[in-house]
Amino acid sequence: MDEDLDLINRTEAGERDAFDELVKKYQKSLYATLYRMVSNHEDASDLLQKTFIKAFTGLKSFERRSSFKTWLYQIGINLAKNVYRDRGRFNQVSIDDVIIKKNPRTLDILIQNESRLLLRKALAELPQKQRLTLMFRIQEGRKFDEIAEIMKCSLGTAKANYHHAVQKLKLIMKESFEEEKTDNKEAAREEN
Amino acid sequence: MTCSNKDIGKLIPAFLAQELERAERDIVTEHLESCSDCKMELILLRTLAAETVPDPGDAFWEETPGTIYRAVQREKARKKRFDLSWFAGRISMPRWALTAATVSVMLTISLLTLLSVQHRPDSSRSPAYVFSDDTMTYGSINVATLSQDDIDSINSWAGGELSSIAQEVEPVMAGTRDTDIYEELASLNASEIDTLASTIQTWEEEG
Repeated sequence: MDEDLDLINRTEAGERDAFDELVKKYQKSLYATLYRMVSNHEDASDLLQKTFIKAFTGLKSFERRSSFKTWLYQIGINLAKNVYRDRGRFNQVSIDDVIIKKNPRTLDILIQNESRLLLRKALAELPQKQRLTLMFRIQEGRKFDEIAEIMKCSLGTAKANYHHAVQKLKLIMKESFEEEKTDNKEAAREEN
Repeated sequence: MTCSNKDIGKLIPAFLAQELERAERDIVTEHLESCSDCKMELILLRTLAAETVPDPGDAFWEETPGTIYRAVQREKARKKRFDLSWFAGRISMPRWALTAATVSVMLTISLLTLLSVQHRPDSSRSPAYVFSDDTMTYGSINVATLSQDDIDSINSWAGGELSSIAQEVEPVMAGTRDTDIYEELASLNASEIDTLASTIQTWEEEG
């Protein structure tokens, strides 16, 4: 029997150890996904709890056709989408404070952080499905068939979403760099 | 300029995740040297992949299962309370109405059971015997053909009938047992004693 199904059956029978084992098995990866979607600990932690609560109080509706992991992620992503809807879009994130605090404020780091900020802004401009697909493929290293299952779409759609996301991201970044170049040239001209 | 080599684009995520075989890896590496578009894509994706999620710390991970467990128990209890209150809300009628409803349901069930017992023998499966209010007539019954349901019906009917007969007979039997024969004889008058004596004499003569 599938290890997760065994844990689920034992959890349903009231075994606390099985419950804890299931939570421990998925809490870190699920938290990372949720954090990437909402960009702050408070919301990610809250969503993590809500996801598990919804899953464990609704175990009877888990049809065991897909894996428990996929089902859990589907619940989590749907809950996170509600947060997204409430805000209008995913968080516009700021420069990573941790890096700045830990490292000397060299020009390189600031440039690097500036690029990362640009990238995050570009990501936030992507349609939700494309952004999620890109996140699953690149940041979590998932295969396309797994992404298709979580996102409840066909394999072809998952690949297309990924392709469009990358193309759009490149375009946004190119435009941003072009704007920056133009700004720098104008600044240099004014100095002269 | 956008790269037109879609095959390389498909390989870039796997290249990034170091999942490619050596031959494929060499092809991508060679392509990247001459294609700025794919190089930019790789840098973008590498930056994206390097975006780390801050670790909330060991204490958070250790506490989470317990926190979730308690929250799940609370949620289940809340749902249960909701179910009970829903039910209670629907039976919050006056006590007399609830009693009347309960009695009605019981009477209905009793009546249906009685009708079922009385009408079952009329079915096409058992045409040989018929129950009426005070008699039972029957033709030839092959007991072997009776089903368990038929036997149960007969048992139930007979049990009911015998019970009512027993109730009628019991006081009489009890009364007979409680009467003293000497008191009976003492209460007879002279004429009744003569009649009794002649009757006994006749029985003795007849043997």
